[in-house]
Amino acid sequence: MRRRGYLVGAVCLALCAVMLLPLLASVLASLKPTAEAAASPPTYLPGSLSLDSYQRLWEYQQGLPVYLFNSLGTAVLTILFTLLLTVPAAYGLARFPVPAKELLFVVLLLALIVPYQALLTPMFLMFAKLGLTNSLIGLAVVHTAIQLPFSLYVLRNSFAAVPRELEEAAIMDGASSVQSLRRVFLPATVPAVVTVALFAFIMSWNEFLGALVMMSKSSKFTLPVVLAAARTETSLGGTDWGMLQAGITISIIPCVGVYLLLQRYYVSGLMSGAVK
Amino acid sequence: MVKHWRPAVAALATIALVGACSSDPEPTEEQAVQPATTSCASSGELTMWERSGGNKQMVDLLVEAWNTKNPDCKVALTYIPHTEMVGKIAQGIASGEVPDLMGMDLIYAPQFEKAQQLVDLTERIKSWPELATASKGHMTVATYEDKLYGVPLYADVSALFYNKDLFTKAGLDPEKPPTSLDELRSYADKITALGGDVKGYYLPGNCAGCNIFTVGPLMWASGAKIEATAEGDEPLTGDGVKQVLQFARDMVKAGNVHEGDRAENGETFHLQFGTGKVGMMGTGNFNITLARQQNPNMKFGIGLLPGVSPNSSASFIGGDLVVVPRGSERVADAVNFMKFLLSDEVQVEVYAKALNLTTRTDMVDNKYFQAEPLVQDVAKALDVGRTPYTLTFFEQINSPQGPWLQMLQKAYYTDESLDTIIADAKKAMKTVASQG
Repeated sequence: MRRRGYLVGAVCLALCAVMLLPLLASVLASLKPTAEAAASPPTYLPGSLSLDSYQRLWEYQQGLPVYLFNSLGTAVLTILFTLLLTVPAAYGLARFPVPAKELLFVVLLLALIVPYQALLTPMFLMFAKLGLTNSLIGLAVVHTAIQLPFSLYVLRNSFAAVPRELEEAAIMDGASSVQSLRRVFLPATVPAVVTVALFAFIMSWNEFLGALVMMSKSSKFTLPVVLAAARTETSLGGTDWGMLQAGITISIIPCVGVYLLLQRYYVSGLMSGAVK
Repeated sequence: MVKHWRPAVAALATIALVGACSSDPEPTEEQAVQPATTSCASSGELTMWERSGGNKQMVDLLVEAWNTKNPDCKVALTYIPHTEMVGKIAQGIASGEVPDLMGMDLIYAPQFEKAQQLVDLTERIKSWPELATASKGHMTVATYEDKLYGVPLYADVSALFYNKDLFTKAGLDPEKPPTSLDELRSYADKITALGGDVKGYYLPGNCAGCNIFTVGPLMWASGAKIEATAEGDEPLTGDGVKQVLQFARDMVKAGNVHEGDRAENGETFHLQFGTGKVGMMGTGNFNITLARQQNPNMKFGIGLLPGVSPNSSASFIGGDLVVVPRGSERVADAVNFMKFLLSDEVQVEVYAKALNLTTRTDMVDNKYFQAEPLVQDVAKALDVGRTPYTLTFFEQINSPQGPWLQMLQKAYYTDESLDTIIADAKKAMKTVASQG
């Protein structure tokens, strides 16, 4: 029995090593001095530690803080817009006698089949007329649109899974439908709401193409766009590896942080959407 | 040289023509009459786009110099990821969201000129005396149907870099780079014979742009022509094509290049010479500073890329042009910025001082270059260099799936008949050119 325990442990450790090695390599490479980061063939471990790469990235164009702010601002707005739209919509579709609601739900999900890249051109032209390009709000709207079908799917299913007795009890106590959403449904579906928020955050934080198309001022770029520009070292496509790794390391931190913080909800959130 | 652009953004380019026909106004007559100066005529920020890449440092310095001189009319510079630049410009022009001026890869200028997406500057700049000595390669692609659309922003020229330390070790004269393909081959053999990790030569196996930059000139110097300029034009003519392909195939077979070169897609091309393990390599002027940073103790020299016959040479003149996109609201000031770039003072005190090539050939003789023989050597490439002129450069040459790279890979790494390989590439290039 004990031997089996060791075996499982060893397998887990090996798996962790496989998963974590690229991350570790990336972090280590970001700490190499400039010349060493560019060495060919590359070295595995840094000969000496240096923050050169971080400094170059920190000072690129408008400076890294501006880009972090843009990325973070867009991500937070995306979460906000997504929840504001999908919570009432999912509540309505799950709990109210909407005519042809199954059909409506399917139509809303249809957007999942259309790759969003195909929608960017018309969206961009429309946004240019509305003055929403070069604005965090505009980009957050694009990101929200990308995220809507999935979020609606998760939330509607978890609202539908809340026992009818709970809702009836709330009505007996005189709660209006908005009150029962706030007092009964939302507390019962926290994991699903967190899941939706997390997915929205990670998508918005990493999204490249939409940000590239919508933004054309360096003061409005988000982190992925800046990284694509900053890493280029020659006109033949040469890459500044040290700076690229520094950028990757910095862009991983919030994702890992948020994930670790909300991991418990996240996992049970996935389940809550899945079982219904 | 953009390696590739993403299909999704490229799709945006298709809307450009439609948009360009309907939206932006032509520059007004009133703007057209002001004579150009080297400072700003109006006030307010000028917006400028430039592709990200090797000349960031140079462009930053140029913009800084302008901003110091014109504090009321600063240039606000945005670097666009270089693989996305073409799509981004097309998208900007279609929607009217364009910068006041921009730097663009010179190689793509003709297709934007043809599509009338750039402002015709002929009347404003044609009488400038500076243009007579401006880099010829740049000016060729800045011209379309006798109209002028831009001036050079910076020059990337290719040349033959060679490692003097390895030359000495191999018993070669470190002051004499090879002047023909035969010499290049025999020197490479001697350097490779030193053994260890050292190889005599370098061939980027998976990078179309690197090859037109460094192998293309070997063909030009041997009297060949590469791309089809337009429909009906014959590409890959002259014996030089086959001779250079044979030369490269033999180099690979003789073990004169590293095994890993085959996978080189451009991302580490600029780092190869600085390793000190390559005897000779075609690369660009950007490599001077990089190699020094990488390997401060290495001694190296620069010669011209040779052809078959002794003392023949050629170079690829790449780099960027400054142009004005349709819809720009500050054409006059964009032109003033161009005048500023070409002025004697900027050529010497900004370009030359930072040890970058001047974009005017008559400015090469300056105090900064005199103190730096390597830059003087690389500057010679400006005289023998050229820039391909075609509306389908990407499809014919630069595309990772294009006929140029396919031809080279078959020549370098297979035993297929060179005549067949060339004939296939010819056919593919002609088809592409007829569709452009």
